[in-house]
Amino acid sequence: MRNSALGYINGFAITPPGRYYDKGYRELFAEVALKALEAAGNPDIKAIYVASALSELTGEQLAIGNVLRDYAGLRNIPSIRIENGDGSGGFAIMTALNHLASAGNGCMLVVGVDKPHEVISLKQNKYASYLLDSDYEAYFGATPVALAAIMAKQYMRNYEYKYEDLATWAIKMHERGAKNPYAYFKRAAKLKDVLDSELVADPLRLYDVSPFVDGAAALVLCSKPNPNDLAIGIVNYGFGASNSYFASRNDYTVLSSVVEAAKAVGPLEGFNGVVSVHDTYSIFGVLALEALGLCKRGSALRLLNEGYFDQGGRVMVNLDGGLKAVGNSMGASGVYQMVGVVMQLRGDKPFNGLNAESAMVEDMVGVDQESVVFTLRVVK
Amino acid sequence: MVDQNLSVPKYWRKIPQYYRLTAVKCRKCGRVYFPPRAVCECGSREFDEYELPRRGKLIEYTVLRSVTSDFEKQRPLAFGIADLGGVRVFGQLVDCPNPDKLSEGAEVEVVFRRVKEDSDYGIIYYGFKLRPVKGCW
Amino acid sequence: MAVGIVGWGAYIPRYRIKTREIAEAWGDDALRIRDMYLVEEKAVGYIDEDPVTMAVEASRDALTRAGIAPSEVGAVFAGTESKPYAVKPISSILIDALNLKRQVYSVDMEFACKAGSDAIVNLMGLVKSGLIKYGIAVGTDSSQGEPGEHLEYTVGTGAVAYVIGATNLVAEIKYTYPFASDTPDFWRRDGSPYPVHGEGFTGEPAYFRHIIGAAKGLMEELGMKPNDFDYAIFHQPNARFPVRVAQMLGFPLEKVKPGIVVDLIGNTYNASALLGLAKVLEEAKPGSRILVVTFGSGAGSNAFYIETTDLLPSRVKLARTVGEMLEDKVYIDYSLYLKYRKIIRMIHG
Repeated sequence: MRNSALGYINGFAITPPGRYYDKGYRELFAEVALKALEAAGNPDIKAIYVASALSELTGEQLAIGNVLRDYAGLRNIPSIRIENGDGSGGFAIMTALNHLASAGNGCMLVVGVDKPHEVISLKQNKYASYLLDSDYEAYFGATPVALAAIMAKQYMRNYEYKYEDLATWAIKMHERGAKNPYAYFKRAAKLKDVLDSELVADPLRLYDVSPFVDGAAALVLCSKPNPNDLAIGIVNYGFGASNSYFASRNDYTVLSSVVEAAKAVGPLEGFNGVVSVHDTYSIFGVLALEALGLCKRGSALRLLNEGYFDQGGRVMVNLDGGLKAVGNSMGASGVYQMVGVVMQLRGDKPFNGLNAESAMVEDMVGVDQESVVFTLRVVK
Repeated sequence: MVDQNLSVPKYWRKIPQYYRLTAVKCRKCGRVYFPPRAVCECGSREFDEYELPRRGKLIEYTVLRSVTSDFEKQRPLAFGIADLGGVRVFGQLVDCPNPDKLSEGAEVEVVFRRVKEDSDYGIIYYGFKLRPVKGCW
Repeated sequence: MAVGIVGWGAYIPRYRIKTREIAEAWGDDALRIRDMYLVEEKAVGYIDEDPVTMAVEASRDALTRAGIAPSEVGAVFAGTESKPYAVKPISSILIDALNLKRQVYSVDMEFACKAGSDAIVNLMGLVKSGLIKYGIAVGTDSSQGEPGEHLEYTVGTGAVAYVIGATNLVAEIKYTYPFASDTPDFWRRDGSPYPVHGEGFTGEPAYFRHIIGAAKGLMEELGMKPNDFDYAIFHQPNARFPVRVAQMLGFPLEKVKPGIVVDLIGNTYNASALLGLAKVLEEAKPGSRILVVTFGSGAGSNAFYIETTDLLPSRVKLARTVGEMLEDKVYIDYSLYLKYRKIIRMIHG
């Protein structure tokens, strides 16, 4: 029997993202892993993929898979930690899918877990700066938001946008977050809130930056769909990379790794359904839409402001509130994104009545270092 | 001994790049890479050292206010991308308290400055920074 | 063998604080302070500048003016009294910053404000003996003035570098004369952040006695009089001392004024007189005869008799001039001054 998907999501679970001073990596891992496995009917797992960017830095733990597996009572299953910055989740899923393909059958457990709030904000910024070139960018004190700011400046200048236009991203994400019980920010935001918020890296303000959150999200990926439930399959994925040294890129207004990943995942012409973009910063969400080919270069912000990407349209973006409202759980963020679109495709609360059959997830590492784009379908 | 948080070898290895912007130039096709790399786009692995010119034009800049723990006392930090003889380099912008006064394509010079230090007892890191020639007053 | 200056470079940071601004913070009479020292304002480096960074800037310009390749340099000596490391030399950082070869003599020197000029004397010896072809002497300081104490009004920040050699001289150093003794007028104990000085004792027994001793010694041995010189440049702890010592030696004011920089940038310690010399080199005609007398507390002076050559004028504009740097300035207030000078106790640098 020919599989129509690379893998099926037969179980999933997330922890509402937040500041968990009372829970560590192992507690968060166990919570979501066990829930996801139960939802999948407790199948045999061939491998556990742990997606985490910060486990050594804030958890002070190498080889974390062993500790987590032990704590959750999962025995004799190889656990592999995948680290690719804030894109760890997407790359863990990609790796798990490849493993499924080579195994031919069976299930994989993918768990994204990260705890930025074990340390104070200045330290979080320092660890975030590790996403950049350590010797030539972070060395001088740069953090990813500084480079995002340069991209935002050039994009707004090239396409004649005002900051108020960009502020719409935060407003719309907060609007969506307000309806999502799993969001970190559940309060709607007004334009005045955004404009009054402090500058982080000119011209980006606090509202343009997704907040760091502790979080854990799990998926059970299987080669065959669960016969008793709606089958959501990851149909394909595509990978792309850009120059690692930001300054040497040709164009600071395009996420070229996302462009490449979108090309690799297959023709996205006429896509309609739900989309999840990795909006670490507002500008990354905007640029991702253009890089995915969902609209023409330079038009995303205008269309966003016109409501083109809202619920009810052909292309519905970040209905869970994106990283902006759900939070940036670093290595876990890609898994949260995947769970988000799965819930949207299934019509689980609060995403009832969407009637979407296709989904797209874009997970990106750092500032357009590399990206992976997934396409999903409801498979009947 | 006091705990050393900043690696010495990691810094010392890069002294030619940090102090003199030493790039590499492909012997086969002439392409210049900064930061240096091992293999050229054309496939060649043979390079010559080449110091980037110390004057150029500013392409873009930003001011970072939410800094890392190492730079808490130096905030805000201005950053710029400069074109130095056709090679784009990212660096801190210094002696520029009002960057909004900078004109597009402003001339910048490369200067030698302190980057950070490992508390009162550890190593001092030095490196290149970019300075608008006409100032930002 | 004629030995002297092949190239020179200077560095003065952009920021300035007016002495008036400091006086207001401490409740001192600003006019009286200005009258005492005749220093209007002083140069302040940014938070990321220090004697090392300034030494690099000045040395780079010196090499540019000298027109020699870094590989031709056989020695680099740095004179300073405000080293960032008590142990780890500025000169070794200069080796890599300037891309000098590994086979190079290098050392930092200390004799309060005199060491920059001691570096010059030592390099002259190395050149004359044939041990090196060219050497770089640096005087660089970013000394701390104790807040609320009078030194704060005059301590400036700056650096100067001279390439010393025997070929293509822009100025020949025709004679040198030292004068030194154990005279504790000003010192800083190991581990102490700020110096201590003897107020009036720093005058006659220290500054004046040694500068006059060196200047008179040089002039007697050469059979020269003040009339024989076009310029007289002295160490400048403030603007009154060099004018007074010039008077005592019989030099008219107009020969001294061109070499005075302290009124605009403060006392740059090891750069002081040598920065005055750099400024004079920018205006002096070929064949000018210059007396330079440095002074370092502790105490001692080096007197130099320098004569400029035809090669000088064409080299002036090859790099930043003292004149340009004196004009390139922006004012800061006392709070920024304390922050840039790291006088506010920082937990983390």
